[in-house]
Amino acid sequence: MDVDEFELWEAEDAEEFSSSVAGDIGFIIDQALDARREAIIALPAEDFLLDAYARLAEGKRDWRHVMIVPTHDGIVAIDDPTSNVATLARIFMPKGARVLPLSAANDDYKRAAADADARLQALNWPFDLVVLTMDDDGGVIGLKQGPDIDEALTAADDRRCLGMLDDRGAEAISLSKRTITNARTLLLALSSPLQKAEAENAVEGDDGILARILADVAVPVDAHVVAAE
Amino acid sequence: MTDQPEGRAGRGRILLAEDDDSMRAFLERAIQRAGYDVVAVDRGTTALPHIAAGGFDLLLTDIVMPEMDGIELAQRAAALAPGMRVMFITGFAAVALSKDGGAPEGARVLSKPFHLRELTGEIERMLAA
Repeated sequence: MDVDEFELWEAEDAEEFSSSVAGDIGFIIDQALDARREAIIALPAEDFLLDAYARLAEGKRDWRHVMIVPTHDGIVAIDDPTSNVATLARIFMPKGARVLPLSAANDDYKRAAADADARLQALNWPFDLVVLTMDDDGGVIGLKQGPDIDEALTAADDRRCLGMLDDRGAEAISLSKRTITNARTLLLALSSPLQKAEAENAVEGDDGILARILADVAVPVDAHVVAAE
Repeated sequence: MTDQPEGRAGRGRILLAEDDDSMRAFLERAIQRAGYDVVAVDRGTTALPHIAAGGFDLLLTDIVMPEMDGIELAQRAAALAPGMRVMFITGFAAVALSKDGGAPEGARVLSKPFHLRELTGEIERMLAA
């Protein structure tokens, strides 16, 4: 991506961060509702974003036409309290939003991902927004270093999500790079100055996972971060 | 990479009326970052005294707000400050655009921007017109 297309929003504190993230996402949802009377967005369910989501959920809009998908999830039942979809459902379903699970209990994470892909294929395309998070090892949402990462970043097929095994042995389902790079808008939510530095390096074109994703992104990207830990 | 200092004001003065707290705060920050002076209020009735006091180049308003909606606010604004431009942000754009929707002549509804850059671009185009 063009470096000029990366816009950094540094918040002074956690409250300003939550407000900025909620405002940015709310603006995009409302534009989508205005344009097509529906919005399809993908959200990670990290703890540091939950206050922003609570603020977002308080916004006045017709949530019945908003579809929310977790960006990634573990291989657990959808009603498992640790699942990302359960976290998002607790916040947004009372407002009337639809929340679509990626995961389901399944012994085979690849098969679970294929089932999730079939559900995503039924949605209108592309996503209006995908919110990305990073971990301190350079992983982006569920796309983490491990035996599946190269295939995940190079696959040219139409899969909208993939089964991922990371180097720590954790299995997950994650939106595919193709889903991310085709989204109408992208937003990066960063939880630390370290992640901010990693994101800036990625924009400059290092060889990390985020850089390999952003290399094929054609839309502006907003990045939100708290200025100090 | 864009990380400009905020408060680079002076390109124009904008009155923002938006009742969603998070969106109002974020839009205010984004418009300030683009170089405009912004006064942000959370409802139409609060916007009126600012309009009456004058000095704004643009009213940027949501449509659905408590006490006084954006359409009525725009109508009142047209009477109080005829030279001020009006732009609606988000929500029920079709109502605002319809012939009997009540929006004052010349008011603009954003043409579905999907990024704040397009919002600030629209503001720039409108103020330059």
